[in-house]
This record gives sequence, C-alpha cells and structure tokens, in this order.
Amino acid sequence: MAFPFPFDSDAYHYSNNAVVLDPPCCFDVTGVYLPEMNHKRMLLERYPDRTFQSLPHTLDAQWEALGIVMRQLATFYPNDFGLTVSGETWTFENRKLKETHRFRFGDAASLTAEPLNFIGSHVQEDLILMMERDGELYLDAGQLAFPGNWSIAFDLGMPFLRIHEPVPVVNDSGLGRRVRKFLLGIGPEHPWCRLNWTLNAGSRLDTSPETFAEWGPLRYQVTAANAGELVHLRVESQTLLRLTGNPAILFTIHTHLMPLQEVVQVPGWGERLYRVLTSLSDPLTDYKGIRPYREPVLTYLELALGLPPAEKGGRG
Amino acid sequence: MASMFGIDDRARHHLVLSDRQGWPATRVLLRELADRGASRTCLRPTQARSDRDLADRLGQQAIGTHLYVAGRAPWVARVLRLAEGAGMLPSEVDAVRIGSPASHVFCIVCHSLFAHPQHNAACCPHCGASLWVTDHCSDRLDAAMGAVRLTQAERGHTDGQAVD
Repeated sequence: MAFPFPFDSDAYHYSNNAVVLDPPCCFDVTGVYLPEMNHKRMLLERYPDRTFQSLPHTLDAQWEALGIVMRQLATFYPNDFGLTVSGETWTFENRKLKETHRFRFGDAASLTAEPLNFIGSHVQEDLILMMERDGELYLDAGQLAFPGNWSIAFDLGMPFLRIHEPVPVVNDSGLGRRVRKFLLGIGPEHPWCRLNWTLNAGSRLDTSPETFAEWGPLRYQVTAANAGELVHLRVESQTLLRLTGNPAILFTIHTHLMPLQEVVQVPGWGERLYRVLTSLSDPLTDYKGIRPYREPVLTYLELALGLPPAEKGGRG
Repeated sequence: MASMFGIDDRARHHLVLSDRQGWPATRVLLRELADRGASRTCLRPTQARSDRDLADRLGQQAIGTHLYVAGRAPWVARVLRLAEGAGMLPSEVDAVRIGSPASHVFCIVCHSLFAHPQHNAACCPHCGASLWVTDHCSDRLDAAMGAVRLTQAERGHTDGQAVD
C-alpha cells in the first residue's frame, strides 16, 4: 500500500469514516517490514508489560484471531508466508524472517507466547481484541508496540466509550455512541477500515505515554528550519474484523510515518495538510499534542510551498 | 448551569440517583427533565438505601428506563455494579463522578498504584516520576492515570520546575 494520506477535504473532524476493506486483507507487509519487525520484537521482549496485556477469558478469541491472521498472510502474501494445517497441527512459515513454527492449535503450551502476542510478532500491525458483552465492547486483550500516546496496561478492560473519554468531542457529541453502535452491528462478511492521523515530533513509532519523557520534549524543539525533517505525518491505517467463533472484533493498527519534507513533495498533499492544520479546532490541536509546534510547522509549510504567510492570529 | 448529563431522548422513563456530593448535578438534570415533561423518578441522598434496597429498585425498573447516577466515585461504582446485576445494560446508564474520580493514581512510567493525592500533580513514590493526574480513569484499577509531566527545561524554558 502507498502511504495512506488521510485527508479528503481541507477541514478535519472526527467522524465514523469506516469503509469496507477491499481486498479483505487486514495486513500490509511493506518495504520496511524487516526493520519494523526487528524493532517491534525488541520492544515486545524488553517491555512485555507495556506491549501486551490480556484478560484470561480472551484465550479462545486470541486463538481464533491467530488463525485469521495466519490464513490472511498465507493467502494474500503467498511468497512471504505459508500455512499448512494437518488436523490440529499447524505449521506457519515466515519466509521473510526465515522462521518456521509448528504448534497444536488451541494448545497454549505449544506456542512461545499467548496466541495474539505470538502472531503479533509476525506483523507490523498492533492487534487489539474488543470483546462484546451486554451490548458493550471491552478492550480485553491487545499487543501494542507502536501506540499513539495511549497505554494498553492502563486501558485494559475498559469499555469503548471510556477508552475514548480523553478524545475531545467524540463522547460529548454522541459520535462515540454512534461509532459503538456501528461496531456492534458489523458482521463477519467483510472487514472495515479507516484512517486516523496526528503529527509526530520525531520519527519514533513507539510513542507510548510510558516513554513520554523521551519523545515529548521534541515537541518543543521544532523550528521552521528543522520541521521538514523532524516533524512527521503519522497515519494509522486501522481495520475492524468481526470474529465468528467468539463475540469479539479484531482491531488492527498499522502506523505509517512520513516526514513533512516528503509530504510537500507529493502534489497537493502539503497544501491540504496546511489547510487542515489552520482549520483544526483548538481542542483537537491540543489533544493531538500539536499545539507546541503548530506555528513553526505552519511557517515551514508556507515557505516550502510558497504560500502567502498568514497573520499569526489569522491562521485558522 | 447546564446538566452534566446528556438526556437519553429514547428512554420511556428516567431514574435519577445521587449521593450527597452528586445532588447538585442531579438537581439540574431533574429540572431539565421536568422542562421536557419527561417521566422521572428521583432517589434523593437523604433516603437511606441499602444495597439490597437499591438492587430491588433497579430490578423493578421497566424496559426503556434510563439510569442517571451522580456522586463520589466509589459510590457510583457500587451503584453501577448493582445496576449491572439487575440486568441494566451499559447503554442504559450514565454516570457522573464528583470529586476524585478514583481512589488511586496509576503511574504510567512504572505501572504502580498509589493513593490519589486529591489534586492534579503527584510524584510517584515508587519511581519518583513527576506526574500530572488526568481525568482518564480505569474502573478495573480504581485509578486515574498519572501522565508524565515535563520540566520547564524540557519544554524549552530555563528553570527546571515541572510544569502542567
């Protein structure tokens, strides 16, 4: 997949922007698969508490998710992944990482980690299981190596609306309830996808709140001179897939980064990003952490794109 | 003063519960419900209620009742558990927590829990991290998330005091 540019208009507002995923593959094996997997596996090994959490009742759903992921990889990337099923014995090949894993489906002792954590170590996506009960969705298991400033160690077990309480507008406007209703209604016929975005000061994929002291200060070091290299457009390509054997939705998050100096090279992208940033509401600007470096980014874009400089108070 | 609750227009009946701290929030809600002519019942904080009594009242509610609860976080958590036990769905319940949202703070750096300091800045007694106490709360942990506070130097200022 080419870089997923997230803006289809000059103004951005939260909405239920999910569309049917076609082809129905929730996984994107990109040209940076090897370095990202090496980095992800280092994080999983070094920081297990921060990168994987699960509640005991999710095990069956984790196995189902593992089966779905392996089948999709083998189907859509047959040169890179192989899957052989003989009764309960599964053999999974990851040819990119030169690994073969043989295990008994459903037998936890035959895997080196919980099923979701195991298969997550073969894909660039973060994997989240939202379990449904009593008309609500709960974040009951997940592997999260590249979080956009949220913590699975803290959010584990939270219902959908509570997870999104920090997000401005979503709950106040009723959008959260509408999205939850949509999610509860999706069936297994096809997965859905949507894009989420923010800006990153720095090129870290792992922007966990646990490590904010490492990457947060960069927000205050952005200047118009360094913004092209330092600031990145961060886009999450998300998919939603209803499981059939368990009351759960598999939520995948693939994080992409592009430095602004590359964004402005694509015709139309820089201008659109500029207009989105100038019109972005104050609550969203603050929530996305953009406030400290909004002005130098706008100045950079004006200079790079030859846009007339707007008066500081008149931007947006 | 606007209500802290969003009224569920689809509900056939509105049940309003509060403890003493939650009463101001529910009083505003009741006025709004009265203005709409909505069917409503209020259990006031002066009415002593045991868990059994509350559970009975919640279990007697007709289909289409929406429950609004306001009060201290531990009391609200107790009522929500009783409501769930009485068969009410999460979509039929709204809650407003007054005062400290939780009993503890979860240090995001070391993942330990410590007592809520009743204000919005804290120093983790386990790892020493300087934190600000957010409104993002976990019922599972009975904790508010303590997020990392950057120093002024980290924010590009000259003195080293933590800010935010």
